[in-house]
Amino acid sequence: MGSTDLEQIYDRIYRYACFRLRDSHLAEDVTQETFLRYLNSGKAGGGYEIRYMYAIARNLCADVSRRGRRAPLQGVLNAAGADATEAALDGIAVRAALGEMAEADRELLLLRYVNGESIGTLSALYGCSRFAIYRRLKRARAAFRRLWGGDEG
Amino acid sequence: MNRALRAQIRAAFSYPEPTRKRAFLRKLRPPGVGMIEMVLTQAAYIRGRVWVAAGAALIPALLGAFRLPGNAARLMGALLPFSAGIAVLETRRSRDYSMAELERATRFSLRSVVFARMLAIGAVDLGVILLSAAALSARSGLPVPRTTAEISAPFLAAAWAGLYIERTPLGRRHGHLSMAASALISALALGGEDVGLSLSALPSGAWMAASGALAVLTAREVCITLSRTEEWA
Repeated sequence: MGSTDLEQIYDRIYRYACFRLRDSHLAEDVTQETFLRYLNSGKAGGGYEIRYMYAIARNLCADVSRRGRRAPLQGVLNAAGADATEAALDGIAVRAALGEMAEADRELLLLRYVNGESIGTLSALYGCSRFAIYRRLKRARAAFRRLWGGDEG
Repeated sequence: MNRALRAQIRAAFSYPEPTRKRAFLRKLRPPGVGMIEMVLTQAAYIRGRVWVAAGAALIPALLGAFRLPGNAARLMGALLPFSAGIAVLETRRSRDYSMAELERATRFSLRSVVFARMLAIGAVDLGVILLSAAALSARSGLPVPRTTAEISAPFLAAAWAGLYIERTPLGRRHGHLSMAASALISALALGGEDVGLSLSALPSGAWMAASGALAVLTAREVCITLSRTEEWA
């Protein structure tokens, strides 16, 4: 596996951890811990299986959240500093819509449309069928369309 | 979902760039590979003729168990040395095809690659020998250990001789000398009785002692071959 691939995996786990923790420093700690735990788990025979890494990251994030170390919101809900251009206003609207969505739906959108995970990976991660993932995605898109009020296309 | 909206969502989910990524990934060791996985991976690289040679040795055993007249064990003893000889040739494949330099540059040592290949071939050959011994014993009424010793002795002798020859300067230069040794052992196994070498008359204890000694010698040669694989490559 090339270093670019590894960096992509790192970025995907990092984004996921950022989403869950809303703290970039903690997210980076969780990302690195995820890699180390995955390598020590014995599942890393032929390479990096992203669904296992997400599962590890999710558990680590849950541990961190339980310890109450959540920092102020960043990322998805952080619209501060945006320029008042049309694109920026669109961005603010999108962020606002995402902010109103259920966390599970936002997570699904992040994994599918930002991290680019396949339906198969998502169904393995959530432990449900591919059809169930399609349905949940459809529901999340509909909720987003309703809250955003834009033309999804 | 259209592209513009996807881009907006990506932008909405933007987070600060990770600051420790490069340093962490540089220090990260690649995932290890288990022995079974390594053997299975390397087994895929072993040439078909090795598997054919191993499988071909089963034919006289199965025929002998049901209908082949005469001494099927002798025929097995004549075929198995070739199986061993071809397997020995696999140990020099990296050199023959100038792959050694490339294989040494991978994260697995050349030694572990050769070991995995030998283990894969050895496991199949062992299976063939045990299966053949069971089939032949059922027909001849001889005890399974005796039959196993009788058919494995020529195989082990050919493997030992082949590996020994391979580590001599002459053997390293001429790859097929080990096959010549296999042919000689095969001829002895097949025609030994005709020239007064009554091997089948030997007691079971002698066969088992001979097989045990040959197994020890072969194991020693395997260790020597593995320890010097990188040096010879």
